[in-house]
Amino acid sequence: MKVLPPTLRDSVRYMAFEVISDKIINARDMKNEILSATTSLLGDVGLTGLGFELISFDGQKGLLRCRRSHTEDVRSVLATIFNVKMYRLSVRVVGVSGTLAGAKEKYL
Amino acid sequence: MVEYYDLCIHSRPECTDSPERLKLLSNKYGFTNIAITNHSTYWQPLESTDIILGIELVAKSAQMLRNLINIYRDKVTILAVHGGDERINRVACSDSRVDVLIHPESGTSNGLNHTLAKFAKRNDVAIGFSLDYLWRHRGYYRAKLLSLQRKNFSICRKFALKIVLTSGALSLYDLKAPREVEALSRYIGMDGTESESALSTIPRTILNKRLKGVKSDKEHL
Repeated sequence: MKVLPPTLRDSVRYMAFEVISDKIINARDMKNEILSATTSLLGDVGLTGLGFELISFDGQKGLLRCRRSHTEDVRSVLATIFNVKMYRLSVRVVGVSGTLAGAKEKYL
Repeated sequence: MVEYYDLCIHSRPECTDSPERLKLLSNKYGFTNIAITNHSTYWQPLESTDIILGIELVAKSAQMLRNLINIYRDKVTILAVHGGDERINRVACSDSRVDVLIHPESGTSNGLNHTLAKFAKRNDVAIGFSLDYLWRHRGYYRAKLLSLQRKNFSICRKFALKIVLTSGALSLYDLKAPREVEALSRYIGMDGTESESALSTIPRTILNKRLKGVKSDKEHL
């Protein structure tokens, strides 16, 4: 299938975040917790609008993609994450970039 | 550069983290300073002078709250009152020695009306919006508290009351960066400038008022 022209593509942002926790968390648990927090705060329709995708997570720092117009929603969803598998944690957004390379270079 | 303050943070002995550790993390997050406001049952003076000393008074009756205000007003910089009960909210709004009335809403009532708003305006008492329930709870309870806070915010906006945003942290995991608090405050109905002033300008004004008061007292002596 042909790739969409740039004018028809969604404008995205790459968001780097860091986790403060006593335990190292794996990427699958983190992704499930972000999805759970999103559906709890914004609902299924809200989740659809975010265009969320977890690109990488190494246990402490991670990178995710979302729609440009919904960066503040993603920021608030990350702030509402309380625990993963009964371990307390805190998630903070380190920075937002327009390109994947830029986000990796500046924030990871 | 904007200076951010969080005026309602709890530390040891009420919870496990020391004030110094909380200050270090909050500085990393972008806060200029924090106020340690332990509940009155756990209150003790701080060892570090860099951190703002405060207290959150918990009282069961109006008379008890008046007594506690008399005892603690000269000992702390920030005097906050733990709201929720309508009688307590009324006394807090009617006393100019109170700086902040934290979470006036309880599980069933928003705890603030036009009369209390006028008292708070006259006595220069700020209304504190603690956002900790947004990550501590989910489902109906969170939705209920959010709707009560929205109602309170609309009253505050109508009467141009001072608003203070706080994370109400009980541990270092509860500390949230200013941008995160601003993002969450959108759900209460705040716009960007209102949430920024609730984290920076208004706390700074309250601190200036109290620190100036202490200075002028010393000069007078």
